[in-house]
Amino acid sequence: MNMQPGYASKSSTNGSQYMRGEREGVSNKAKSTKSHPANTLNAVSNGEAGSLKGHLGDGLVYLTTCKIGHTVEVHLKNGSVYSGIFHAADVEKDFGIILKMASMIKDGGVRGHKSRPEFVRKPPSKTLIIPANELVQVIAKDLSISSDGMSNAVQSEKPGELLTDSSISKSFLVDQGRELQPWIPDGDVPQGLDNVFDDPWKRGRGWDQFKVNESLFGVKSTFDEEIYTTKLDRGIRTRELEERAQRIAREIEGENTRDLHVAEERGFQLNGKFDIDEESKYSAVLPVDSFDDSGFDEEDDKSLDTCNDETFGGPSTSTVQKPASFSGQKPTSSSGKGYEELRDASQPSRNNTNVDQSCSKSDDHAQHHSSEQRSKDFPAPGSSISESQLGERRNKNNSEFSHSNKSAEESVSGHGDTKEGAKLGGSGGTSAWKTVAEKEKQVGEVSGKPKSESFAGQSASRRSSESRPAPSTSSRPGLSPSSSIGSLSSSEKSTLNPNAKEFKLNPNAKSFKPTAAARPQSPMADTSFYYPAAPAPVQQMPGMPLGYGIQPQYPGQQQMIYYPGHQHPQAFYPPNAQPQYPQQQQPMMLGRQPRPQMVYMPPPPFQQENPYNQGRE
Amino acid sequence: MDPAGATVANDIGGEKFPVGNIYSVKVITGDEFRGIVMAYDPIPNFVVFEEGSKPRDGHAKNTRMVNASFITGLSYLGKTEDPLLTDDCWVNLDGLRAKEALAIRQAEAEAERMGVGVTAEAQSIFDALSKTLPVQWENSDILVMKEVRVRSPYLSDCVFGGTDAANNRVKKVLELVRRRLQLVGT
Repeated sequence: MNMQPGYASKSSTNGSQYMRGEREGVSNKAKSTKSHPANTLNAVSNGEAGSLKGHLGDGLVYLTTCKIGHTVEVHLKNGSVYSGIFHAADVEKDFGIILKMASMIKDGGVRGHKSRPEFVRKPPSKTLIIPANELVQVIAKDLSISSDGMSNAVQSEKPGELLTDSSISKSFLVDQGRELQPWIPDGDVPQGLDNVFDDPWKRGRGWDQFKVNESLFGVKSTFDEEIYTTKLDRGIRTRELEERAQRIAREIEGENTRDLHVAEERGFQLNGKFDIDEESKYSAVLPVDSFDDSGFDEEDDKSLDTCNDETFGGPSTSTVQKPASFSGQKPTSSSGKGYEELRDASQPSRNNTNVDQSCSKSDDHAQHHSSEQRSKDFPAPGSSISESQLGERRNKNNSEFSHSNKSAEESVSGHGDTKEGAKLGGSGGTSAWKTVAEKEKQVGEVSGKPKSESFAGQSASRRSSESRPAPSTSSRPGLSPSSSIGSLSSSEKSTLNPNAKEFKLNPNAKSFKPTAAARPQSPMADTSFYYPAAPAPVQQMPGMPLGYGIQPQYPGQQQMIYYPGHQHPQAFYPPNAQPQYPQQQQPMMLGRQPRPQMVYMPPPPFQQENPYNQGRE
Repeated sequence: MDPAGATVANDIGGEKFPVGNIYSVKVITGDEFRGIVMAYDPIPNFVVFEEGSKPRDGHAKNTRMVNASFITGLSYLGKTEDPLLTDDCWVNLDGLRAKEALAIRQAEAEAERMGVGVTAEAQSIFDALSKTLPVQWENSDILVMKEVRVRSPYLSDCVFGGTDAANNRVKKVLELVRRRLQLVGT
């Protein structure tokens, strides 16, 4: 490439005037010059006359090229110092340079060496050309030089490019990655620890942390697992129950689902269009009018939906604890919002698995609430019932609740984490139970009293009746066991949102058959429930004012339920939130103590250990 | 190309700078430093030094590209055998261009914040105001929130324009800023 001789001559002819303002012409020259070094590098071997020859010049050209884009300090013969972005150098001739956005740091001109602060500021020159004969030195600090051209540019952040934390904070000095070697202990490692972490459930068999602590440090543990979870009564009928749970779990898992998330978990390819990106799959907000499966417009619509489905959907769900409420699996209708959809969606007895998923997904969204709702219900029932109890109660409840529209029978067993269920028969039951509970929640029933009777009573009391004529109605979406929520009962318009959708009984909905175990002793009792008494905060569901998807859940309720979040800054959320995502998070649930003052979501139900957790055992 | 003010160090001009040599260098402007020769080309007569007496680990080096014609003092300090540049160095031009574009963008943004022909005091007031209010320069006036104008000398009574609320707010902030900067004024 040719140097522009013009450029060089310009500088020399103008003599002292070596600074120039922005001039397009100049810039163009500069541009060509810029690429020069690279070309020159290639051309060096040709030994072009006038260009750098041999490897001597190469290094200089290379280093000069590395400076492109770098902020440098240039010292001039007259003592002036400029700071600017290195743009180009005349490598073919005399190495005059061009800076962009240069500003004078020190004036070595006529006025002498004035320090900066005394300056009246001048805007930086867009382009500054410095002829070689004025150039004394160019200082580039922390210039990256390496045989790998990448590091030249990588150092600078590239906004708009996705940067992971590790890439941002890494230094190019650090290995990008390295070959991992398995660790080999060097001899003084206590034996017997190889399998310590293999099976977290192997308590008592492989590793007892409490024992170790006590022996090592004399720390006496007061840990009693049963505080945090419901004791599993592995009674006589355990085997039976286990098997049943397994069966239901299998059924549930094998079901068809229309929910994307559930399908994904189960490994079904739900959507033929594989070009759905992550955003639309997991976080996009679906348009309001898509009231099909996902009743919510919220994010995690699907999850919410699933949750709902789980809760209500499977016909089964209900069975477990929540009496009645579930029966109206499709309470949706009652809720003001697209709840209906939910219900319908849930029709296909989705299972708890979904719930879990969805619940977990829902974060701050309405879903959350719904899930919360669900979970709330759940815990109540869940906690109270242990697997065995569940089984028993189930039977008992079933009979008792036959009045429900739905025959939510099997629901109990299958729900919940199928995965969990797999673990233990009991747990299977529990998980099922959990899911059911979830659904229950939806229904809003679950007052936490395991007994169906009580339940019914509760529901009645709670919900202002409406919900289900017989327990069935409770299906209100998500409102968690109703207890706190004050029930969505649409039917009961008196204290409820007049704009809420009517509850439409879905004759096809499975009746909820709460298993007496529904409510473990939740202290919560009624004090804590946050009843809709505080109507104000709640927004009308239908409109989804908050945009929380939850709406559907509470058809009537809206009031509270919803989102505790916005109105009440209290934290209620987090703890309760936990239940939502049941399965996934074991940690959370344990040990939650009932919170008497919980507002929003029926605390009691939650308090109980998360049914999900129970299954974890 | 040697206009008047010829290079002082003519005697050094023709000297070769072998790569790896460590020198203590003095230039015509009076600046002094120590550096290791990284590259040298006799034709334009420029040397690139890595600052310091010992090569720095890693790939970031403080470099100085010096016009050898302006070197006034040179003393040989030693030699280092570390290969500073390998034979197959290559540059990522695109990356460099992107880096430059980014730097220019940033510099332009910075330049926006600098007032033209304003005193340092004015600039510091501007900087302090910009921490909490959206400010921009308009000649030598500070324009806050696009409505309120603060004229020189940037005292509380130099605040004009905007709604009453905005105006008062700017006044208040200005007062606090001045107080914090311990500037003289009302």
